Amino acid sequence: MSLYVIAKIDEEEYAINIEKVQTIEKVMPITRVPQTESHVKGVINLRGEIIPVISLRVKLGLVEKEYDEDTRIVVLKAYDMLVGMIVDNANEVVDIAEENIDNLVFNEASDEFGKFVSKVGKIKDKVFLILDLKKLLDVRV
Amino acid sequence: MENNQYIDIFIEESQEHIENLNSNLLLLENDPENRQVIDEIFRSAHTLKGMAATMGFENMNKLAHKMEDVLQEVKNGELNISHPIMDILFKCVDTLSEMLDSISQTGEDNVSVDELIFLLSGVSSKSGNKENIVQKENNASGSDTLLNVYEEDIIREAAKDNYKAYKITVHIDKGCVMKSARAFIIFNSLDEIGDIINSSPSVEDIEDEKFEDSFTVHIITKEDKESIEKRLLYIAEVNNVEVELINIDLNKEGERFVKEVSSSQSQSFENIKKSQSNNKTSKSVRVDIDRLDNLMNLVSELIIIKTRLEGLEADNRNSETASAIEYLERITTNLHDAVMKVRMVPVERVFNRFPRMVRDLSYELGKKIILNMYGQDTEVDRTVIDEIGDPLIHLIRNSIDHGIEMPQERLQKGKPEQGTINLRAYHEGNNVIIEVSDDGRGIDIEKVKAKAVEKGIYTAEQVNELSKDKILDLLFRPGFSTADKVTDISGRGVGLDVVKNKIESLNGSIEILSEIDKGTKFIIKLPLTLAIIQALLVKVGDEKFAIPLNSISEIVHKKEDEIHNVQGKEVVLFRGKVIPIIRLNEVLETKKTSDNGNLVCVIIKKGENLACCTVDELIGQQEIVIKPLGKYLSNVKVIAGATILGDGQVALIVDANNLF
Repeated sequence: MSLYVIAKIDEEEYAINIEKVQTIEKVMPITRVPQTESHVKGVINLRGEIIPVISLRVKLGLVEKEYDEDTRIVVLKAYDMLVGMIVDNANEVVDIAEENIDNLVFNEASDEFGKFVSKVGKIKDKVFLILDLKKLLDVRV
Repeated sequence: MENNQYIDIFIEESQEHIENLNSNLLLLENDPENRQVIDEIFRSAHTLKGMAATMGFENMNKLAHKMEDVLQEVKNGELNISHPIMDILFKCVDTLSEMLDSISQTGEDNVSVDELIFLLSGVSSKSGNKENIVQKENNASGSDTLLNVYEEDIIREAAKDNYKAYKITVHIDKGCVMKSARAFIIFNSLDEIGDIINSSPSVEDIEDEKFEDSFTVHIITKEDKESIEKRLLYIAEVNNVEVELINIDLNKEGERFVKEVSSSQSQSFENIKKSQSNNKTSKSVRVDIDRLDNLMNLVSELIIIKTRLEGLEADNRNSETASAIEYLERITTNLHDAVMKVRMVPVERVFNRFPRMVRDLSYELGKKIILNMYGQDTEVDRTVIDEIGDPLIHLIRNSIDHGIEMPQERLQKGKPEQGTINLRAYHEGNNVIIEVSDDGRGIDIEKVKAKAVEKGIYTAEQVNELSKDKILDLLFRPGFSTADKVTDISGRGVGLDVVKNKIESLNGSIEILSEIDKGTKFIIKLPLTLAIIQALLVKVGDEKFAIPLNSISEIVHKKEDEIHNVQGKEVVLFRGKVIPIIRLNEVLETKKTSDNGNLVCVIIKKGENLACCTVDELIGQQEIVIKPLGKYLSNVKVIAGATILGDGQVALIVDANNLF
């Protein structure tokens, strides 16, 4: 039994272990940082702390979308870092049982998002892609 | 274990004593007759012994004790300082420090001391049979009273005038309510018949009632044993008095010191009393660095909110709020200064270990080297101190290893046989400068050039057009210095690039000056504080950036047509010098700005180098709090961090050092 935050990009639902989520914020002014890759949107001031923000859409190789009322910054706390991740929507938490989580084998060459997903969780007939934060945040260990 | 809570204190204090031992042994080596230094060394060894015994570290206790024995002989002049003795003592100190490491890691002092104890016994001129009287007494009674050499001399001197020395132990009734008052009466009573040389515990401790129910004093008097006993037992609540006559060997060694020590007896008493009361009077509190960091963070927050208030005040002018905000501003500035001062530590803490290192390395290499240190009391932020040690060690090792020549070579060059390394620290504006210079062989520019060509960094033609500074800068390239000993700065796997990286990570800079056969000088420039700086806020495109004030030389206006193109690079003439143009809107990838032919130029400096940065608008000078961008963005070179402006916006801090 563990809780997952559901982040949406278009109609696709991505699950993030709730223990790795520090907070979920509405979009706020983002200060651009030069000389960074395109998925880095900049930094935000989160109650006095400077936090880098990346776009999950860009990371997944999708086109960017205007921020709107539903856009959220999911602040991830993992591998000694705080990183904000912009998603289209994040307003749901689900409970996925351990036995309903399966490892996933993707064809790396053809599936862009396969790079960041290594497990899937099921609730009844619904399937969630569980984000692999280590890959997503380019953590090299 | 009950001792656990004391172990940190024990480790920290022992470290200080070991450092003390190290530096004083070095002093002693150069000045073997210096009594004061010997006393100081003796005291450190003694204290270490006591602390180790209390904490139950048997090996450490044994070693310190044996050191103390040998030092005692040196102190008494029975043993002369010689090179082998110094070597053994240094080894002892190393072993002590090894033990301390082991204690801090495993909680045990499992380091073998047998060999050193054997060596120490070897140098000791007398093995047991001639044990010093004073010391034997101490061992027997187990108390900590020790007569130092001055006190012994006083006894010797006094003996000539038929004064006798006694060791008196007074036991006060356990039920005594005001022990210190009772002790005071006893002291007074003894003062009437003679002079008290010392007491254990110290007079201060007795006054503070920091003793159980007995204390020991040494006294010189003409009275005999019985009358002293009678006199003291007469005082109420004194249970028992032990009086022992002290026999100081008058003929041995005494004469020389007597002449040195006291021409006037009373005067020397005065001195002793003074020196006793001067001991340990400085009041200080040890504070965990985390607490200081926390305090610093709070001050940072306060400064941010203050800046915000100033912004609000500018919008709606009200003289009442204006004066209140002005007052707040003054307080925050003072508070910031005060907190910064608390975090400041003299560079001495780092410098202290160098004399020993220079000594060892120069012996090892057969070179003669003097290390001069200046400005040890220059204060730097604690975080800087912790980081700067390794780079400095690296630079000094380089100087010793590759800079300073062998004695014969120096003589052939007409230089003094002894090489000199100067370590200098001083403040310059908002920076601390640390210089490491030697009078060695200097860096051979030609060899560096050849190396650069060989490594394919430049072609032969390019290299010849480079300025000397640029060529010396090559030494900081990764992998440049490690290969064969082409440059004078090489070897040991870690190159100067590591030094440079470390210093730049502290927002500092480093440069080399070198002249062949004259020597090499490294100049390290570090910010006084890492957290809060003065910066110039500028607009580039429509974004705000902060440029640290300490890397700005000045601000000028230029016209677009003053820019020249030299070899595909834009340059501009500034005070007779040709300096490169850095278009910040390109580097920072902001929007192209309106082109009206007028340029606002911020002249930035890095050591001797200048560059002209074009910006769109100057906003003003402001105190800013540096916040890191976070690990995720740690490889953005041109940005040193970010700061939160009064309105909550984030402005990036330009790393001027990386613009060059």
